[in-house]
Amino acid sequence: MSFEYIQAKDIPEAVMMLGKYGDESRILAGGTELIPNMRHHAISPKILISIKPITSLCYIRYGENNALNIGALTPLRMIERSSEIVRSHSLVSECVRSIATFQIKNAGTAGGNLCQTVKCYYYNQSHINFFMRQSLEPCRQRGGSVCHASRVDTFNHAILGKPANGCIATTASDLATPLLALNACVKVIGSKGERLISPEDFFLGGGRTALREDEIVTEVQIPSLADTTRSTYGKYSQGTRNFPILNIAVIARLTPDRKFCEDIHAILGGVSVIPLRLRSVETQFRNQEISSLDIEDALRDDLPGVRIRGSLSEYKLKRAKTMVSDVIHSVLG
Amino acid sequence: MQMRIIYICVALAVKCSGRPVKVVHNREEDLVCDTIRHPARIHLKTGVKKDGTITARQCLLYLNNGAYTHHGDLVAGAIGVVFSGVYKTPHLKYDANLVYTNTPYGGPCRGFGNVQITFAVESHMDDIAKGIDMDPVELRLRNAVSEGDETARGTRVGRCGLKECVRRASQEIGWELKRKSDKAGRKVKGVGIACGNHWCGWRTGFDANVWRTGYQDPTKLYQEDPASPFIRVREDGKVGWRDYFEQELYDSDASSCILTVNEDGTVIIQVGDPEIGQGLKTTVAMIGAEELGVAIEDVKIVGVDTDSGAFGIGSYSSRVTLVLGNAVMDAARKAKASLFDIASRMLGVDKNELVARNRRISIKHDPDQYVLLGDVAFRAYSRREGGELVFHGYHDPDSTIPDKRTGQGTISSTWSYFAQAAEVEVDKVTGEVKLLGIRSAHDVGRLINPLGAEGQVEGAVHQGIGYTFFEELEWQDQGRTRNANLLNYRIATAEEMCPVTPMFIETDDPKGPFGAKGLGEPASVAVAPAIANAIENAIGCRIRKLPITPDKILNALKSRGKED
Repeated sequence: MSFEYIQAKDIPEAVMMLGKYGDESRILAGGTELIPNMRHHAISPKILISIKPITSLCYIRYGENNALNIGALTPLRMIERSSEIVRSHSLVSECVRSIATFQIKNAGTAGGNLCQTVKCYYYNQSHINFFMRQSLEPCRQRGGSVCHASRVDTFNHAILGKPANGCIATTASDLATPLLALNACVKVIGSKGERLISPEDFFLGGGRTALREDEIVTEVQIPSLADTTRSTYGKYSQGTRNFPILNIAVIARLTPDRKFCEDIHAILGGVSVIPLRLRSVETQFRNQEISSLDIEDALRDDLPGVRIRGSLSEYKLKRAKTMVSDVIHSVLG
Repeated sequence: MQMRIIYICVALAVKCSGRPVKVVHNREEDLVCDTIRHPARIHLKTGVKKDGTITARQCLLYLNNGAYTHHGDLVAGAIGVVFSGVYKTPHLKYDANLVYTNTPYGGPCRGFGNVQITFAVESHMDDIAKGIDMDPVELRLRNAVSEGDETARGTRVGRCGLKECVRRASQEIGWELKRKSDKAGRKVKGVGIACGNHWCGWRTGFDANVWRTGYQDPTKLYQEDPASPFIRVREDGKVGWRDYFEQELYDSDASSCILTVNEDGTVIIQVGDPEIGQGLKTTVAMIGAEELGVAIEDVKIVGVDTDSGAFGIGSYSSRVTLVLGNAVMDAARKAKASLFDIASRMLGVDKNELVARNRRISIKHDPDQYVLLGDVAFRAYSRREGGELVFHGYHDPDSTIPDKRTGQGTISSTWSYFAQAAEVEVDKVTGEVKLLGIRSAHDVGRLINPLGAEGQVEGAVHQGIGYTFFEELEWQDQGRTRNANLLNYRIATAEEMCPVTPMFIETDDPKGPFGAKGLGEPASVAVAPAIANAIENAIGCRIRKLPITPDKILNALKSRGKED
């Protein structure tokens, strides 16, 4: 593993370097994702562009209409500890609290969390050992033509929906799910200027994002929430510090007497390659009396059968349904 | 017999490079191609009277050996040994099949087969209890062995606290009340118990010629290495072992030590069994210090590498406290006798009148009359008639090599007994199990190092929680490990730990140093069946395959629903 390490002192320089070195380079921020992947030889960039010196990207502040803006280089731990965010967007706090360990959150950044590649035990194997490399054909993520995971009954991968570019790994970012529910925006900057991308367009699945080659994430913008909004985040993982197997973010706006649900956003991560918007739940529950709602019925359309029949996939589906039902009850109840 | 290729590779690399060599396996290599605990499939059949008395037992075992044999045959044998030792069984049949497969090769792992068989047997015991409508604790107490019994393998049971362990563990978990608690609703609680036995030392009976040459058959060795010094070609052209190298069994389970009393009264003990984190150095130092009447900080334990130390078979089979402990006792007694010789001259009393306490050698009935142990030791070195105070300690237990065909024999001179009780809460909707507590009762003979013993039990239970709920290698069809990292091959972390209450029952075993026996492996053995039995008590479904995962629980609930 040999690479060149350069530091970008500001955003334009980082963008310029990305444009210059292109695919051979990678942005280094917290490094909690990049370094392990390099050690596994999953990626071998020739140049690492460190953006750590750009301290201007580390902030939590409130902008127009009280929208929450989080700089891309803000450590996850700082987000977790922010008492303002607990008050204004508890969903984000809850989500970040469930991510990894303190050590990782001290290093890992908000922007880095969004730009993670896939977590799949076929992709994240080192392949350092010659015999091990020989014994497994590389998967699509590694330039091969197969998806080993799609052939087996598995708990860690998407159980429904289409693969993304032939890969059925789910979006590894914990934050993706609440950002979708919050109608947030990801601000990116490149040689052609700034643009805002909605998370629905940002996460493409298969470890890819909508970032162009010379673009970096600079900010996450989250609109403010009405006072009558209630939200809950739920996560199911193997070990509470692990990547999510399933996660769910639900936001609902209720009437002051809490009898009617005026609006609801429900996003379920982990069942498909990108977090799934539970459309039937959202349409059937909007402007309805809470006591009349039937979650099981709504989920029948959102969560049909599994792609591969098997004990693990079916358990995952059942677990997802239980989780959706529990979390929605806690929001509306 | 064993996979020792890595040692040979290291030696060769050292020779070739002339430099120190370190071999590091990364986690993937470790999980893909290193030793694993042998997976087992076990079929059990038991004849039992209505009153719960076991009349006959049969066990058919399939053991996944992996691609190479690394103790697989011994693990299969060991399973038969522990299978026969817990319950009185007049008639017993045991068949083991070792199966070569393409998976990583199996090796001995804490429990040496006991974990596999105890999960099967103790789950089966609860099935029996249910079948004859008897309380599982009562069934175990009715059949448990006690001192003086003879097992089907001809082993005379020595000091045995098995029944006491079962009673204590069940009492502490609140058996009577919780067993019959309300099982309705989404989250239900249950309690379960499991017990077992474990050896303290093992007279293996290895084929000595296989051990030394790697070959069972001298002609095969001759084909590959005609110049082998172990070979003799007879006049008729037939190849055999050389003289005095005939087929013989390795008939020893010994440990030894060299104990030196320095001229200031401090003690150095060189041992032959390694400290592998189990606390050997502390325990053995305590035994030596107690016998010699010195403080534990006066005793230094040295070992183990190829340059120093004494002979010992090794740190395995929960043998060190018993066997090495006895060897240290042996050396310490010899040292004490020499010191008393000198002290009796100094004090002018008979040496039988002396006692060693608090770094002093004093007269029994008049403790104010004493000499410092350091002064006695100095005198030994400083006087012409003295001599150095170096003593050799040795212990080989009175166990016997089991007969290869009938299995009759006693591999260990004494046995540890234990019972573990678990309380769980099962979520019937998600299938998740919350472990509320484990009570672990152990017949340890005599507690030497209480803190170390608690640590052994807590650590072993934690390991047990790992293999009960999480640890499972997933293999692709060709046997390649899929989840070769610790994110996907999960072990228990601090978060999965539950409150553990270790309880020690002292039976004062005459075979052990100060009555002590082994505790290295026992606490990891009965965790899984205790939990499985508790889950069965909670939801009425038995999980027969480890690890116990939420999907298995939901599937079990579902298929039981169909039966209803």
